[in-house]
Amino acid sequence: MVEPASRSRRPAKSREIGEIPPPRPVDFVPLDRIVGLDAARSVLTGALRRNALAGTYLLKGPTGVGKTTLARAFAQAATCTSPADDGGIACGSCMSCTLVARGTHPEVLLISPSGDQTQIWQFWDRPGKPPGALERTLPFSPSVGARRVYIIERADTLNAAASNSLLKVLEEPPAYALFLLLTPNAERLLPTVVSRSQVVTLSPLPVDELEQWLVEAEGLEPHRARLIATLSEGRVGTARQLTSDAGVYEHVEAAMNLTLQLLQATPLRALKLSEQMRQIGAQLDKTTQSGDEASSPADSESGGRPRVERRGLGMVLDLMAFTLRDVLALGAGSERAYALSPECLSAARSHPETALPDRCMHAIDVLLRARRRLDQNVPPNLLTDWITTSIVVGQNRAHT
Amino acid sequence: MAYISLYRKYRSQSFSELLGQEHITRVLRNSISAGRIAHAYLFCGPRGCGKTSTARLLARSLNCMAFDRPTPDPCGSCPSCIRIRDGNAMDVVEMDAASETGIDDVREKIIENARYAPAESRYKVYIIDEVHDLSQKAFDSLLKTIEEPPPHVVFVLATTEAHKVPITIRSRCQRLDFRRGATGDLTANLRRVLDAEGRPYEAEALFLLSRAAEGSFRDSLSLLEQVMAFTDGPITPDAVHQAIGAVTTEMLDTVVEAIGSDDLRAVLDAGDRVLASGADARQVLTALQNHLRDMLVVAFAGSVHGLEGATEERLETLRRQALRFTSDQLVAMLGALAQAERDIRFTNQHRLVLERALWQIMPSAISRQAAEAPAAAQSRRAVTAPTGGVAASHAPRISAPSPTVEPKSVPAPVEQAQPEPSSAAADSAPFATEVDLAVLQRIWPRVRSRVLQRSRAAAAIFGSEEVTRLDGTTVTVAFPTEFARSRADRPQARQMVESLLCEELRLPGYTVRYVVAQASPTVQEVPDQDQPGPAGSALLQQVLVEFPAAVVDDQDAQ
Repeated sequence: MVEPASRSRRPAKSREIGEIPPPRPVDFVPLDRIVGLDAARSVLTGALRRNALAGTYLLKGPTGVGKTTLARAFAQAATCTSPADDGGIACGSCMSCTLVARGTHPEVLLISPSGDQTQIWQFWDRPGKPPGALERTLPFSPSVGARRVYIIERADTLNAAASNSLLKVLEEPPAYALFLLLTPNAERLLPTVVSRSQVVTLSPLPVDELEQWLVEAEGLEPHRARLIATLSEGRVGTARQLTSDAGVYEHVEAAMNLTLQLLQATPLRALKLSEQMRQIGAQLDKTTQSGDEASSPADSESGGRPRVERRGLGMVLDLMAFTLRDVLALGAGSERAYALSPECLSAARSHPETALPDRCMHAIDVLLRARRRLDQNVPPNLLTDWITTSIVVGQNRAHT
Repeated sequence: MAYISLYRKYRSQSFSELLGQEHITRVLRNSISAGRIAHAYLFCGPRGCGKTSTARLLARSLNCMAFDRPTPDPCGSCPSCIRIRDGNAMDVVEMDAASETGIDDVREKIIENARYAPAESRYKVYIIDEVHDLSQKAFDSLLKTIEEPPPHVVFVLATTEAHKVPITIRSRCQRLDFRRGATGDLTANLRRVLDAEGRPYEAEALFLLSRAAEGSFRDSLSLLEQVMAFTDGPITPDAVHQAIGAVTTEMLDTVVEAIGSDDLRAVLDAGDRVLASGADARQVLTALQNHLRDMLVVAFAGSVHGLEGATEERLETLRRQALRFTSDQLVAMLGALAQAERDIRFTNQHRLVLERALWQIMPSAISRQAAEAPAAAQSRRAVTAPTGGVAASHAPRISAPSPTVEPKSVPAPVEQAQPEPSSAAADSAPFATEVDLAVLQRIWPRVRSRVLQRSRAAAAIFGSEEVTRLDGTTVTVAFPTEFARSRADRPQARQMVESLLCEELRLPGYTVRYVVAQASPTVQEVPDQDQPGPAGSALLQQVLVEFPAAVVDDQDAQ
């Protein structure tokens, strides 16, 4: 079966469509109240305490792991004028700390992509554009806090001109400047930028710990906590997003059941299942719609339904791939943590032939490729049709 | 004093400190002592190999006040040298071409200024860093000035992307290409820095850091700084692994052993454990590629190139692991991993991509792909041709904990693991040594597809023939019809098939004998298994379930 071609040859979109968006950290979380991220936190505060803070840090970690939360909290510690603990912890009460917590600090600037890219004019003055963030701030020493902090979100969206324009600045910034570049994918940054930064990896919590946290702090029932912890792969932000609405769980289950059906389906059912996939996607999308995603400029620009529909569909694809991975592991006799719901688990057990490794591998391969196509603007209905038919046809071929 | 990053603090302060770029320092030193100083240099090379440092060194050499003429060995202590080091010399202008890209910036900073004599030193040096980002107009405006600058001006253009610099600029400059640092040079540099910082270290840790830096001096120091921020103690391999999230050799060993055992469960578990340790999926892929490459080099090329500094014990482990694979397999595995590394750039599903890569490089999967490639080409020609029953035998083995699988629960049993059978056998003969019928049947599709590539007419003859016997070096191939047999048996055609067969086997002297299959029992067996054809009864049943329909007439049922 021929894979549907993408409409544009453009590289993948800045934010992967359908990635579960982290809840906007509207509430400021101080450094000592952040859940997890211990290693990254100790590296940063350790440097602060030893007065060995480098000028540029690259915080990398998957979406929803808490990069912006950590960056803002650390900005507070770095700018605090009367820090405790040898400078490692912000006092929380000085002028600078209050302003950071409110998000209105004039010397702690958050630079986010404008549309799909982060443009050069966001840093340096360019005619006809708003003032650049660095142009008239970087040369002057700070007056409110102890440092000037520039948090560059989604640094992977920096376009070529913008990243090049930062090279010299990142290499030898003034002593009072601190750059925090955040990215889920350091490979998409210019290697020359990465080589100028200290890379700090933000690792997700171990799934068990997150599960425990969800049960204790968020009051979730154990099996849901288990599922959500596994699905979010230990990312606290993603887990909170998934728990924000009770309806999500239902759709998650529906997606899992669909996956199992797909593994047993005959060619004739493929298109029916394809339609179901789109329905679940639309519902998932509705229930997880966060204020952030709806109002972010990227979305309002490209506007309207199609893009939104893709987001839900992307989540369905991820869920299905996860389910398949678990089925595969189950078939291989592995003792890995299963995110499958009890019903799905018993369904999968009762049909051992669904867990044939070849089938699962092939299906995961199809889903991963489809995931890529989704980012490249392939129409959703074409895509789901292709997914279901190639999975069904592929496994029939493997069967004969 | 504020903290300064290591790579700034320890910039090379003399040409002799500039490691790994002897070909460049020699050119520069000689031309300085001979007084033949070019008016424009173009420094290009990958990140962190010393372009900016060299440019500043050159500026110092030209202007050092301890001598009355340019010197290859600037003193580093005269006012001029100090001002250049601190970046406030009047006559050394360092321009960031990436943020000042326009023609006005160039005019203001360079063209207008170049004609005035230097204020306090011998030369005016213009260092244009990241020069590839200048606009087209800005480049053009420089052309005349760079071609014939006043005698007191030297331009140094530095860039990582020389191909973006217009050819007209390049032809006016003396171009010097910087190289990536060799692992040894990087290690030496790290040692210099650590000695100066007074931090204790282990040699193995430096080796790891320099490999992770991929030839970039700045990367190696950035990484070292990460490790130093991570721990207050000595720089140990453990600290390096934890701080930069590198994949430990023990983990790689576990993964490779799992793949070698061709056991899906072991592979999944190994992947799980690696990711659970906090390693980054892309780093795992890179590290695994390096590891396989090392295996290839050590076991099949019989050299230790790029592995200088590794212990004899380590080499032995690599050699032993390589025994489980053929060199062809290793190369195919490297290809699959490289593909996965490309894929991972475009997705955030790192875990799945990594796991897919791991099961794709299991030996069973590799050989299946090799077998499928020609089969796929063939099925384009003849859609109805049955795909042989070979694939089934290649399905990955799924085992309950069986004696063939080493206990994988212990992370590092590799060192004292199984004393493998004679390593000499594998050293001398990396390729298949014994050719039996199964081997022939497996490679026959490859031979066939190569025959079809050479001759289109062969498609009429080849396609459903089978290898049925092997007597010594005579291979018996059965054709379904006498027509096909006689066509294939023409001397020229035979010769081609035989030579291709020998090539595929990598053994000389094999001949083929063509026969007509007696009532071709094997050919009929395959399609008539329990699975009926596309129009068979299962489909019919399904139609009846899905649609309100009834069977009126079934012509296919005989």
